[in-house]
Amino acid sequence: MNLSRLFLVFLSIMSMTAYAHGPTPRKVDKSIVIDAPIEKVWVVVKQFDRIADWHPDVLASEGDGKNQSGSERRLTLKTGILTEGLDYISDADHEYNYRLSKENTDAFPVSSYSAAIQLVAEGDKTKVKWKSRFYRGDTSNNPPKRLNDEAAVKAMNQFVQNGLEGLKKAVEK
Amino acid sequence: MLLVCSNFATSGDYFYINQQQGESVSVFGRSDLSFKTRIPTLEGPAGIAINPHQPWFAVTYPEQGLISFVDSQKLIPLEHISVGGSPFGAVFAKRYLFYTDWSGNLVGVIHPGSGRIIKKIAVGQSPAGIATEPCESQVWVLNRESDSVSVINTESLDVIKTIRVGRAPFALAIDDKVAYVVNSQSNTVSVVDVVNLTEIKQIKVGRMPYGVAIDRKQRKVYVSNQLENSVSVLDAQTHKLVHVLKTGAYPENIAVDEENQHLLVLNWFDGSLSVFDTQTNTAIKRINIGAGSRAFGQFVDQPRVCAKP
Repeated sequence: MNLSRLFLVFLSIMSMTAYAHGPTPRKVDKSIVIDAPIEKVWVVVKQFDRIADWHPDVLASEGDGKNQSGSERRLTLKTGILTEGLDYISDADHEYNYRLSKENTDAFPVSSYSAAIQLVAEGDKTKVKWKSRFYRGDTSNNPPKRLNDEAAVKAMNQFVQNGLEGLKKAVEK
Repeated sequence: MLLVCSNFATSGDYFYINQQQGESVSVFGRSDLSFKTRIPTLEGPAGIAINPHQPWFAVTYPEQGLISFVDSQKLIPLEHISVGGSPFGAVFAKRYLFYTDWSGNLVGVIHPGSGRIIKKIAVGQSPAGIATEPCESQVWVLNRESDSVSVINTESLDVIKTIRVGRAPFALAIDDKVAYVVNSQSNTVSVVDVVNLTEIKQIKVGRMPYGVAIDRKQRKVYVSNQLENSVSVLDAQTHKLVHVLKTGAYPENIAVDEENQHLLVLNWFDGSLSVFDTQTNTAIKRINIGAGSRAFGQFVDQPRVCAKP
């Protein structure tokens, strides 16, 4: 086996690469500053199963009321139901991590995601940081437009942005 | 000693990071940690395998059903092979390149000289991480959705055993005696006996462990915890947690450069690479590698020292 037997053929293959974008994980990374002290914001945010209280896109939410690591919540969106699991929550760090437990790409065009919300005190205000890593709804090599990377990025950005604005509104009112 | 270079594979001088949200592989110097060049590839490279015996490495494109071979001396692409499916993890062992097909639930075996697939071996569901032990007599494959390991004999090219591990095993590293398997949804690492092919125990690590690397010199095992922005450092002898390193956001692919005493951790969310000194467990550098970087596999050459005669 030697190198000379490996040959260059990449021009012929370059032509077929134009459309697909790998099952490449995508991310959203957003934040908002809320005019309220950190504990006041945290009391609202930490109730994992009560996201419907402040997120405009979540019509209803329910969970076990414990909101501990291992807890689940069901979100009712206009388009259907999503189930998410809480992996970790820390009062000291004002942070929690959660992820999609059961995919439902009819409701939300993302096949899997993990996400973290963290609060950071900025004087007597609070910065809310929300980030997520996710994959498009259809991870096969030829996803329909509804379930491609662009659709997933758009949906996730919108969900996080609307959530941050809704939270700000709910806490500052 | 110029002679040494002419017949020695110099994958050794560099490490490689795929630009998955792009069309290239970034090359960095191992000793000075500086950016060297960008090798053009096809779109969406994800997995990587360095050939420890020959001057080339392989890159997988899960989205395209393709694998590229790249010259690790001239740093140019050599050949693209169409394999179909979703090739993801890859490793060189014996005369072949073994790769996992995430959507096909199989391991493909490629003969690099001819570019031919010589066998497709059925394994469990969603095979991801793949590695070989130092003697290259076995290739281990993690079946993420089957919670198991398929052990393949590299001579017969058959699955000789399926071992149950924790939930959603994703990445692994193998020594001559034990393999460390990261169970991403159990938050544990399975220690598996390479001779008896049985799980010895599971060690608790951080949240959503993603990558694992062995440092044989320092006798340590490193595990990146994706949702904890940390690396768990385990003693390879006692299997106890001895240290926790703070990383960037979403630490994923991880590799040890024993020669330079570096631990390299790819922080996916930040598009950066954290470099630690493996002797002192201290951070020595943070390199910007760009958004959407990925290096699934052994992205730094690691010598395979076979103890058997």
